Amino acid sequence: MNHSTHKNTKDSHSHRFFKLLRGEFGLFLILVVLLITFSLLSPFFFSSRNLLNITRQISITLIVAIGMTFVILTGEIDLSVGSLAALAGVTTAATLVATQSIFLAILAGLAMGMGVGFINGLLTVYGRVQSFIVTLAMLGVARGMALVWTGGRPISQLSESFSFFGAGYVGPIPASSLIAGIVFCVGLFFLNQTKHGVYIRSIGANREAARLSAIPVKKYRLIAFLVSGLLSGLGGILITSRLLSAQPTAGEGMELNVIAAVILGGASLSGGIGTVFGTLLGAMIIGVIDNGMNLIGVSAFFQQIVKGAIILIAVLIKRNNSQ
Amino acid sequence: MKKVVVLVLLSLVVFSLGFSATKTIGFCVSTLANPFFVTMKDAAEATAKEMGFTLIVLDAQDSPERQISQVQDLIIRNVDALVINPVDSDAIGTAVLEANRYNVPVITVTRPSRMGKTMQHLDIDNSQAGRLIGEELAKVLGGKGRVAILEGIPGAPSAVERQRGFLEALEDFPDIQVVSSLTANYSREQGANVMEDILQANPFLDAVYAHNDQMALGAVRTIAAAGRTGEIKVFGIDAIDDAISAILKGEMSATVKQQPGLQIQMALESALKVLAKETVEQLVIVPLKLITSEVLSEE
Repeated sequence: MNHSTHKNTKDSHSHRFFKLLRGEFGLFLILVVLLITFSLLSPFFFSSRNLLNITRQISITLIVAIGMTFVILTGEIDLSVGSLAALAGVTTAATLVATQSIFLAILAGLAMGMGVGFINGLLTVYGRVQSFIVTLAMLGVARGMALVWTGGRPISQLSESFSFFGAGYVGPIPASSLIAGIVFCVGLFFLNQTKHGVYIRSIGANREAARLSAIPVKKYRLIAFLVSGLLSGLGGILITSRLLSAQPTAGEGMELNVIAAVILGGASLSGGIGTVFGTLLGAMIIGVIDNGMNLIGVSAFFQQIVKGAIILIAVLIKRNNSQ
Repeated sequence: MKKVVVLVLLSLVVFSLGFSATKTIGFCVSTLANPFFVTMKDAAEATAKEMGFTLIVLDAQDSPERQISQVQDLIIRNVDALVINPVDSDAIGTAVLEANRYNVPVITVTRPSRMGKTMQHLDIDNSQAGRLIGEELAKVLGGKGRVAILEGIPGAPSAVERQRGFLEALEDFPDIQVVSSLTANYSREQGANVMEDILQANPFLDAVYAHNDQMALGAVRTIAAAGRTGEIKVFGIDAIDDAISAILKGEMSATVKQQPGLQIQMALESALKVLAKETVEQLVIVPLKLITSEVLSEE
């Protein structure tokens, strides 16, 4: 299924819809089973209030995971997302305290995200170092910078109006869910409806073939890291807004959750395969498990085992289903 | 007439439901990776059994983001009251505001919330704990010596207060010198690692004061590995089980008992009082107890 995607692009156009169904159908089924199970187990689960609550809880993971989807599609990995989120959050909070301008603060956070993403890309693409190592190093550097900058203390006393993005609502809908929705739509459009998406996918599927077809491989690999950096930055800003405090330790271990969502969503770590829609389903499954177990009141120690087991089962079902 | 009957019946049903249903209290704990809070959780479960209410314990694993989600989940789960042990005093704020919005009473333990309305906060006087240890350390060293400090999470109010109280106690002993003060983030593993560095940098050392027992026990391992057990005295705070046995074995000199079980029991009792519309104190200071080998042999 993997290499056929760009071998005969015309053919895949007509089959795209069916492929989408077949590829993601298994995931969809798992999500539905989870939704029904939790609805039966807890009377509080299937309410509009809780479902909106879940969309807020997954919003940050989803945003960062969409960036990760770009990177994984090109056959690379970005381990620095959690640390970068913390660094961008600290940047935003510090700028907010210094200038009292929410606009400038958000801009600074996004710029920090993109800047670090750019360095990741530069070292990987032009420095020819494996992205695993580059971003693992960046995981340490970005976290260290956040800690040094703040002296290890959270930056608090932020102006209350800043909490809108992470904690506020637009009507009944959480603002961060809306933001995640917009990011999702843009990501979906970019990867599925534009030539850039086709290029990024081809690079991951077969880099040499992509180069021979005159695709600017280096440029697109760099773009993937830029997108991941930018969206990690956005994630960090939302965490800061949600907590109304920038924690230098925020997003610890986030990379694992994010990668889990992308892989659960059907992406392949070797590149070329994966969709933004699949990533959404992956993030939703993880979010629903977390939320559902809290509502049922599964005991604290047991939760981690159950979550791990459900994810493993989901991946197994998905594998068998898509063959 | 019909309407009145229906209304009376309805209100009776509502009343009886509200009256007979057992209360549900959510307990959001910062981390169960720390035995101190495991003691708290066990005591909470025992209290729930004894007093006949439903208890839901959720573990934030030291992540403020996760804790906020858990508080929201419990609000949706319709808990009657929340007892929160915040991971971070600032970061828990928006969650407390949300609980306020849905009229779920909140009680905090060990760390307060900087925002929103809480019915009660239960705490120990952390500076008092530091002071108790400072005085005991001076007594053990005979008022003279070189001391290293393992600090808790930088900026955490408990760490700041435990440091302050300790240093205040040492003011009366000018011959006791603090040669190193580094953070090990309340973690046993980091306590062991940082202690290694401290030993490298300070060949002459008489005592270590750690802001909690976890770090103290980490230091105990490093000191044992260096073959200097007993030579370097170790002091901690929290009186977790491992620290008690370390004191009995002579690996540690003293710790301070905060009585986490008593603390959560008082918090849950207050929660029930709030639900019964009784008034409770805004701030409760849970009494402390210095634990040494003499105290243990008396018990």
